[in-house]
Amino acid sequence: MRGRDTYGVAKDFVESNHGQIGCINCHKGHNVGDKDNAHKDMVKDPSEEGGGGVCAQCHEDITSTYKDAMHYKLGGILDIVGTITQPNKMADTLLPAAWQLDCNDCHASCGSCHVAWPAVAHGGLLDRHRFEKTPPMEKTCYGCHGSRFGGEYRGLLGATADVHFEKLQMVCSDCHTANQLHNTKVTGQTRYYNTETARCESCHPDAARPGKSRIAMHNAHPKDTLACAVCHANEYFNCTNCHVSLDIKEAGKIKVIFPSDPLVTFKIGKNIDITPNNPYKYNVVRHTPAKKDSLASLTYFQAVLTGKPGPVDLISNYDALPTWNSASVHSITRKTKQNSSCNACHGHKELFLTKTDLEPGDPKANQKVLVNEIPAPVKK
Amino acid sequence: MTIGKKKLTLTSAALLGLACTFGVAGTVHAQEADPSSECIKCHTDLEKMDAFGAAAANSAAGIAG
Repeated sequence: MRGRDTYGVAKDFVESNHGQIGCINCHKGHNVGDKDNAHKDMVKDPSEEGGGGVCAQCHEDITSTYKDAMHYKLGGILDIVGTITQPNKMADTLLPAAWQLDCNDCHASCGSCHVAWPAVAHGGLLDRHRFEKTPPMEKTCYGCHGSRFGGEYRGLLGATADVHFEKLQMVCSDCHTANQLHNTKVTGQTRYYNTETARCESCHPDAARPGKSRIAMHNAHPKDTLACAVCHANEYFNCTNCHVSLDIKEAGKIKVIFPSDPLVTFKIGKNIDITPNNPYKYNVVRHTPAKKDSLASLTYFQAVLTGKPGPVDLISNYDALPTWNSASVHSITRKTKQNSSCNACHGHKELFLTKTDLEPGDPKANQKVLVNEIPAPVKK
Repeated sequence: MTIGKKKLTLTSAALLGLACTFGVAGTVHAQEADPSSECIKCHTDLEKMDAFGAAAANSAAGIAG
């Protein structure tokens, strides 16, 4: 994926409401013919500052919440890295530099969804500077979520494409509304924040009435026992054994790289991220690409680059968080291998996360996710 | 000239001055070039801009999520 239409501006944009504001009122710079002087003091992304920038002047209703939202602050990643590296101090490590080199590329301003490709795709205008009220999924969402979510949703990774894509060509914003995306205020390091998010039962109300459903399997499982994906997700992609490193082959161009091993599987685990929006006892779990020594090379590079080695045990609080986590798998189909009959799931140990799935050195927190009692086969 | 007439003359002159000032300013404002005209002239030349873009764009891959 790469940015494109990098600098060209459509004439019809110039005549649009946003275009009539005038280039330099948002981007600063100077209205002169000489390129260098014109771009002096120019602001490339005027929507960046404070979670809204110049957009806040007219769209304060949105920017007032977006300044705290996950897509702007990347709070989830920060919370997790901050937790597993305790009690080390970020300032004593290369992590802030690595953050700026890589992680921060997924940080989204207003413009990086509505006007331009996100930074991770190297920017560039989406469509000649025309403002896209609904960001185009392939260019913007997939810029950051194009691997696992975008990949499995379209059937490029894992067992099958998601039925919502394959049959209905639904786009991200059909489920993930603008109001939700602009309001995902991060309140902790859990995967599922206590904010409003997409709900299957918004479109499938019958599924949310265990005991009163037209579907026998829905009635057989008490309310809030199984997340929808437990029965309706298909095998999905996981990353394991990930090690962050720096590519310093080219002078002056340091890149963060993280080679990892792929794992395609399906595992049901205990849900330890219970919130009002994720109230289920069991959910599908995906492996988080982290190992105890995932960041070890940063210590080495810190010594090389600064002459002063960083903390030897950078992920010193590795046991605090699991590496198998509740997942929003996007390979949903009505019929799946595990829901083809009661005993296609009951009694099938391989579908559940058990101690045989763990590896030596896994974090202690993984124990909380294990399913210790596999549901027994149903007698006919 | 009576004091009343003087006042009237002064007031008229002042009003005329104000009218001229704002009238001229308005004309100047109307004649002033679009404050982003140079930016627009260059950036709407799509052929030229695409040549810049092709030179600047690098490949990159989406990675998270």
